[in-house]
Amino acid sequence: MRYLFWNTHNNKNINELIAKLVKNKNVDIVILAEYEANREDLLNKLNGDNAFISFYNEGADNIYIIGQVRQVSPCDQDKHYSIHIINNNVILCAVHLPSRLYDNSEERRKSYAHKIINSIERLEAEKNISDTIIVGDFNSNPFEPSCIYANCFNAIPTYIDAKKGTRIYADEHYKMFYNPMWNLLGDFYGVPGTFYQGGGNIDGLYWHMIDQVIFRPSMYYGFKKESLEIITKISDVNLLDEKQRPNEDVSDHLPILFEIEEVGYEQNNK
Amino acid sequence: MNKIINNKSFVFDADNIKMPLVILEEKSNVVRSVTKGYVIAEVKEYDGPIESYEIIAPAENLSRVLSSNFGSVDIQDKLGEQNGSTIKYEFYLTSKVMKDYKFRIMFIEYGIGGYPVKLVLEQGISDEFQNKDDSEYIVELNSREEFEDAIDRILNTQRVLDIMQSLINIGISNDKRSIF
Repeated sequence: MRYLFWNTHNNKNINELIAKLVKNKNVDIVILAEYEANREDLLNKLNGDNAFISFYNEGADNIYIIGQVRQVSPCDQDKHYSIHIINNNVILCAVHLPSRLYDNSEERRKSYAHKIINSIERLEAEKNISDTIIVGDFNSNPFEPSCIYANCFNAIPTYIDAKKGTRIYADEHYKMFYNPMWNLLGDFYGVPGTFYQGGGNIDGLYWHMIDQVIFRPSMYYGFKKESLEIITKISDVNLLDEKQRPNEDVSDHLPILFEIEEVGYEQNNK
Repeated sequence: MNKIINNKSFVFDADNIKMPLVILEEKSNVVRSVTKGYVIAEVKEYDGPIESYEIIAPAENLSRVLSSNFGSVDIQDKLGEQNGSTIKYEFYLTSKVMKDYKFRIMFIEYGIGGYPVKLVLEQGISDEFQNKDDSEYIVELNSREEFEDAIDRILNTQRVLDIMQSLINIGISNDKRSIF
């Protein structure tokens, strides 16, 4: 299953680009944040030869999800996240956590991370599902507290450690996620992040990797490493401006794409 | 004759000691009734953290306890009993036809006396309730009257009404599909 996430920054004329990207990359599930374009128009553009359906997510205002799936069951919905069970075997949680621009409180994002993890772990137990994906605009970098704290997303950069399943902190067991986004940090290969912000703050980094995917280590063998990509071009449209930063005429965020196959999950205990 | 207690100051009205849980259960029944059963409001005990907190490792905990600052706690900052015996519930909407759907309206937390009661609101509701984006979503209410009034206002926010309407629509269209 190929997934696309994009914060489209309220661009009302972005459907053509999304449709091209979905077709070029054979995307199955599209997760959008700050999506303000016409939903029906997007479905029409995509449904020439595919069967995309909208996920029901009343309550999750800034998130819109469509996909070619057999079955989808809506679960917890909130202003900042939307949780679904896909085909009875994968929990998909889309997030758009509070902005670092207007509310620079990492505390608030940590608080959301607690709530999201609590909901996910309840569902994993109730439905006996071990494969969970969290994707979206975390508004935090992979190394910031909401992403790494044990009682938040607990998303670890190395599979060899994440596959232990849980880590113990202060006598409590916390289930881990694997975060492949660490592999895209820095400027050796491609664009160094998904979002650019001036370096005027004391901790200014310029580039931020705030659009991310993390998943339970049980899904590692279905994950196609080479598929994880920050998209900078769609057909002949450059998503970067002349300074090689996200072109805000399109969106101030770059899309991310990844593939996780269902087959092979069972190999995770090898 | 010594009159040590003025018995006229006591109140024996059951309504006055109605616990927040009981009020939420009553409101749940109202929701079910006015939406003809398409929308279900549930109250469930909750054992996770309901707001941001920091977990402290044992060694770190000890050093905090030993530090002079840590011993200073403003008793007015604490809800209910000082030994931390509070109870937490989540209050959420779900649907007759989508059993896993859940829109959490709020968490509540209170001590043995019931009041004050802390509300941790869903951000969208809080923003509408307080007419402000990214508003402070934790509200503390001191009495049954304040709590009941707040719950009525929360259930009548446009955000909650819109979600209820959407759940009613889904329920009705599902009923139609099963008829035809």
